[in-house]
Amino acid sequence: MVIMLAGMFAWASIPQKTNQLVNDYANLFTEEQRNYLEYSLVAFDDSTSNQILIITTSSLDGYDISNYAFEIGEKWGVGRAEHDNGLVIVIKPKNQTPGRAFIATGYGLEGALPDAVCKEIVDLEMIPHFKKNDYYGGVVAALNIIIPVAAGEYSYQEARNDTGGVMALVITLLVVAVFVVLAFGGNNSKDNNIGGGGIDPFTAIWLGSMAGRNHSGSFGSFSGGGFGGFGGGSFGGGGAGGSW
Amino acid sequence: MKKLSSGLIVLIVIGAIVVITLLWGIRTNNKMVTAEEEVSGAWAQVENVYQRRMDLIPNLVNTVKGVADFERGTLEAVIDARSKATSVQVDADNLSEANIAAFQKAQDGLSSALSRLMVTVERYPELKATQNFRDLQAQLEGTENRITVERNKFNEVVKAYNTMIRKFPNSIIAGIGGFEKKGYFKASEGADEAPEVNFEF
Repeated sequence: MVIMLAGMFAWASIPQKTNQLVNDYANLFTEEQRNYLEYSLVAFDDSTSNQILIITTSSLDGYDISNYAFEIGEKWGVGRAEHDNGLVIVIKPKNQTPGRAFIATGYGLEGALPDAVCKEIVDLEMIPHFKKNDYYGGVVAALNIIIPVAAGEYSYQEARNDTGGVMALVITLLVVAVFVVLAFGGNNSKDNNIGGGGIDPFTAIWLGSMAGRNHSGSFGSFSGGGFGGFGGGSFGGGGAGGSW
Repeated sequence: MKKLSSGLIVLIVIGAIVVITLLWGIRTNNKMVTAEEEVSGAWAQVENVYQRRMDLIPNLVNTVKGVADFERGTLEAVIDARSKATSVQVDADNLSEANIAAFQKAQDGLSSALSRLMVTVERYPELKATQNFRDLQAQLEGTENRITVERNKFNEVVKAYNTMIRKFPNSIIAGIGGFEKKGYFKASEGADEAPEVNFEF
């Protein structure tokens, strides 16, 4: 009886279907991050018809996170009905209760992303970032693997190695950033003139990359209405999750 | 305008009623056939995911056996429960309440043997640390999730089917056509894990 009541209570807490792929109910992302994710996922949907839904929620209301993910996937119809190529990522941040994350795969993606792979993505890509409250970083790291694998471009192993390359790039950029900060810091202490003097190549690269980021960010906010709607995909319990 | 005799009018009316009733009967029958096929399809999925679990067990047993001093009792309980569960098969044409209950009982026996095994494994950190075991664990968890989902979906279509065949006047056609009530999966005994989730829309 209690279980039934809990179930009914929990039933009421499944969010209503929206027309967005990023539903940040727990406010884990900034406006810009949200828009950028939405933009990327809509583009991915447009190009491959694979739909990835991201839900963050501060409470699962007694729900098992896996069932929460499956039910949203099924009810919202994530993925195309004929391919069942939907994927649902649920993130419950750590608050009074432990943090939890789950990747649920539609029937059609169970082959490309088996449970053991989903488990590794959650454990190795997401949770290390989530532990540092870097929710955006964890989601991006996971999507860097999920997107090429779901699109059938790479196997999981290849995508992982690929991320090694991305990591190297990130580290390079960080090094550049440190140089820039040091350079600016030096300028500041000397003559309080930030913009002055010639811009060295590193600064140029850094500013360029910043400009690129801003550009795609503003694109993201532009494309708010670009999502064509959920396609009626079905979920059979595939996927895996973890907690921290 | 030609005048029809009252007898002829009665005949026409009766004839029309018979035709309409027949058409309704055929349509209802066909709807029930469709609903029954949906139940069979959902059952096939249920069997599928349970079979998937069966297939994982030999691998799991072998992995666990590799640990030198592993407790034999829990391992043998899993093997026994598996062979019991294998022996209870239910045909899609005979999904009576008794058959479903027997099937569920055998499978739940395996579920509890497996969960005891997983608890025992907690005491063997060197086993838990191996990649092979971690993969198996993820697969097993995934299989349990699939079982939950497919059981819920099965219950949902059975509910629609049972409601259809038991409502009057459909029940008359169901009686003629031999459509029988089908069984549900019940929430497992000691279902302490997750709250039951239903896929009602």
